[in-house]
Amino acid sequence: MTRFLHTLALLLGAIFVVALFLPDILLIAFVLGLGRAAGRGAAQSTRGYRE
Amino acid sequence: MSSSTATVQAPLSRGETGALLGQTMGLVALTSGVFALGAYVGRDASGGWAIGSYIAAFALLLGINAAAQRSEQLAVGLLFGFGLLLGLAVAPTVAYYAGADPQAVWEAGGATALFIAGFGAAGYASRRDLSRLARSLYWALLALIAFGIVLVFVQIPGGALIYAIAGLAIFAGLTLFDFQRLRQTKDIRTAPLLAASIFLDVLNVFLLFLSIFGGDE
Repeated sequence: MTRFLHTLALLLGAIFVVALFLPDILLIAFVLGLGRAAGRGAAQSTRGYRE
Repeated sequence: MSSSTATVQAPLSRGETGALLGQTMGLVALTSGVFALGAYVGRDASGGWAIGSYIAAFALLLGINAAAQRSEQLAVGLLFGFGLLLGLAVAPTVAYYAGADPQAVWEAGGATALFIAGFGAAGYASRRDLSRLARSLYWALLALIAFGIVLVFVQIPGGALIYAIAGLAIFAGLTLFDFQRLRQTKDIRTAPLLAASIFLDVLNVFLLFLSIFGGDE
């Protein structure tokens, strides 16, 4: 859990820096795109684990 | 590139530039203090609380961006709230390292101080325009985020160390740029935004050093 939280902290720290630079509309698109990519990755990872 | 530099005004005088540096670094110091308080208060918090704090901190970051041009007091208040929430979010991670390997936390803190002081001073003194470098680093940061997402799902030998070293290289450049912006900015009201940017540089560098010194593999 701690390793996951540290990885999350590293990732979100970088995302926050990006968020500070982007205008709001681009930021929403960026976060949605990131969420979809993470969701797809998680789904593929789960499928691979089941197989 | 930044949404914080939309208004075109007369350049600041030498005295005003010094005042902006003092005000911004004062805000960074206070935000860091509030962050440390949050990290202490939330040391026993669960992972769920940490994730909730990240989401709330993200909302406040958007608020700082929106408030910066309208009300400086509101932007400063949001900045302190942002620091507190990030402290609460990072608390379980720092508490774990403080318990398991306290030396890693001290080393990461010391290395961060030296890193920011060195690159910050170089950026503030630099006469070369670093905005083009910042644009490249921005894309490199996006690539690093993509690499980080890959690392969550795929085990790559030495992946965490590669991420940390690449991250430090990117944040060295971003620290140079952020401190140069302190000297080149034309609007004194941007102090809270600049402080948020420098505070995030400090936080990221600390977490990356913690990853290296804590042997996060």
